[in-house]
Amino acid sequence: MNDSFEPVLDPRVGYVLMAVFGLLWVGLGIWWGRRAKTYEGYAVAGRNVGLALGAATAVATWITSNTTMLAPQLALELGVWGMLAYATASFGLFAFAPMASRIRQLMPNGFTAVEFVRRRYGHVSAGLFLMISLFYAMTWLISMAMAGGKLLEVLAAIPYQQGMTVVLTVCVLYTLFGGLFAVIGTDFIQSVIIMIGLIVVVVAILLNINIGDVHQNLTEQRPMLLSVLFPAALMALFNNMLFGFGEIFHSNVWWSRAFAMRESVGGKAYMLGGLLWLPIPVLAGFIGLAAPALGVGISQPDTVGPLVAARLLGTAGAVLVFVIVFCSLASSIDSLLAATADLLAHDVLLPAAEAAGMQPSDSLKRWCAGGAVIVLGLIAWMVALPNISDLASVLFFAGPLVASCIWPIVGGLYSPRPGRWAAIIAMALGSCIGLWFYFAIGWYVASLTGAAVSGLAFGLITYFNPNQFNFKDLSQL
Amino acid sequence: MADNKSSPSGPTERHQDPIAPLTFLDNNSSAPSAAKDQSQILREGHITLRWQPDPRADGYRVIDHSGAVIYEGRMARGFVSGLPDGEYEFTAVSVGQDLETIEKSQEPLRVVVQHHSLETAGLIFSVGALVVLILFGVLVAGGRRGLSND
Repeated sequence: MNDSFEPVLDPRVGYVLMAVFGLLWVGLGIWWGRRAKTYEGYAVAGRNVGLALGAATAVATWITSNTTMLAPQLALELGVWGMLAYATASFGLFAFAPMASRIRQLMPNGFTAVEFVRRRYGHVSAGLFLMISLFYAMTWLISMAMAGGKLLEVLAAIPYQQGMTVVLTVCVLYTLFGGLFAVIGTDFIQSVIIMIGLIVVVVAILLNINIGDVHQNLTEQRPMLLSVLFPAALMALFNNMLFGFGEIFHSNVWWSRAFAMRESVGGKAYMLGGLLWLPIPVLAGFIGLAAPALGVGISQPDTVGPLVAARLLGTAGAVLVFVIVFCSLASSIDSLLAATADLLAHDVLLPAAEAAGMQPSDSLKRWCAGGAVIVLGLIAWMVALPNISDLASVLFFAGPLVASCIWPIVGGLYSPRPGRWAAIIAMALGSCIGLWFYFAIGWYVASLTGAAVSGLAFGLITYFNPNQFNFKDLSQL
Repeated sequence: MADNKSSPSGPTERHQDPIAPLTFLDNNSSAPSAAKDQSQILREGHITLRWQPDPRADGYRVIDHSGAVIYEGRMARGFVSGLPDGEYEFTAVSVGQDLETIEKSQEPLRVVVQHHSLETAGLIFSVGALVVLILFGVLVAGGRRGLSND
């Protein structure tokens, strides 16, 4: 039987691995949950996270299944430029490093990114920003859940619906019990596993691959992948960079960590995280480009990375790849669940309760956040169940929306001049026009045009209608 | 590109004709692709080929117009990429355990690759570079003046 016709891992091994790591993460979540009794402990881990945990959580969160699955897909679709385009997402971490320090300084008692936008620009801006944040978070969460199902099916022939359900359920449970303490703690362990595992896998693959064969195969069968004048790839380079900026600058996943880290730690942690993350998509992309030369049948480009690594390294390698990707999935899904639940609890449910005349206790806040984790997990499960699309099209649809938030965030943090209309119009115009380009040309120009239009609108309105914001208003309780 | 001709032809006919094995399918549904009558135009040089599974098959191959095998695996879908401008034809083949041919697609799938112009790509690339440069400039300037604005 030709190897390409068989799953690389015995399904029974796959089920055992899922059970072992699932129980491990849930157990750790319950254990760490003992420290997450208050809302501040649950949402921002007591605001006392140090450099090692801070850098580890930045790396683990940004090493998503996208890094191991979408990076090779982009390499297979857009060639060397596509691989480099994905790696530019590390620039977002570098750029956010000084911003993290600024955020911590301006809002020492803050909880969410939406809270910043509300205090800085008002309720209308915050409402628009919240919609974009929730849409992006759910898109990312669903794409992670789908990735889990696809991976387990490709590697171990575990039915998609089963694998996806198990991955999502495990993440919901330990996030529910432990909040950001559990998320960051498991991120540290997962990042160590991922980094060690990736080094082993890459070294083993490089020893098994003839670079010349890879180059010859691509030249003969897929020549555009090596072309420096690949039009779609040229368009994607800065598009992906701006998408990365938008993802990180706006997302509460990163803001919640900025609030959780000690005041002097945030900048260093994000810089270190970016440096550790940068080579990973390049290596993953290379694995994708090597797939055709290795005779690996590519049915779904988003699964080629793990599939190639597992086939080359045999059963032990397949186990290692399975563990790496399971860890990368869990480290991202838990972050999304925790951060998005905080948004819902802090910026939707609790304000609604206060508007109704209630005075929510700390315990109620804690339970709101937990309930939001369950609801988010359920929604993601229902949308991911039919497995209707590949990762890139699901995630990049949110590109223009998040890219339109870049300028309101950066401008709002550093300058007192931008006012609410600059923020509102920048986000609205950038999102709409970016989405138009998404459908008219393709995903590889949508974030770029969203950011460009948003920036132009933001700059012009700020110039003609300047404000004078008092930054001390951000730190008031 | 759903095939509109596959709809039922009268009110008493409630079933559709079964799709023959190895018939290429539309990417977003399980309807047969209309591409046997007209070519798909690809702007990025890649396509995911899907075909009706063959219950007798242990695996599948996809061959192009030159006879080269561009996909071999157990799934009834194959991904092709990196194609330069031009016209291409693909045929799906079901194979047994020893890679012996069982059946081939009755109709090959024809596609045309027509990449975006370099002028368009260059313009988008330049706009992106400018936006990123301005953003970095704002971040650097903002970081230096940030404390003075408090």
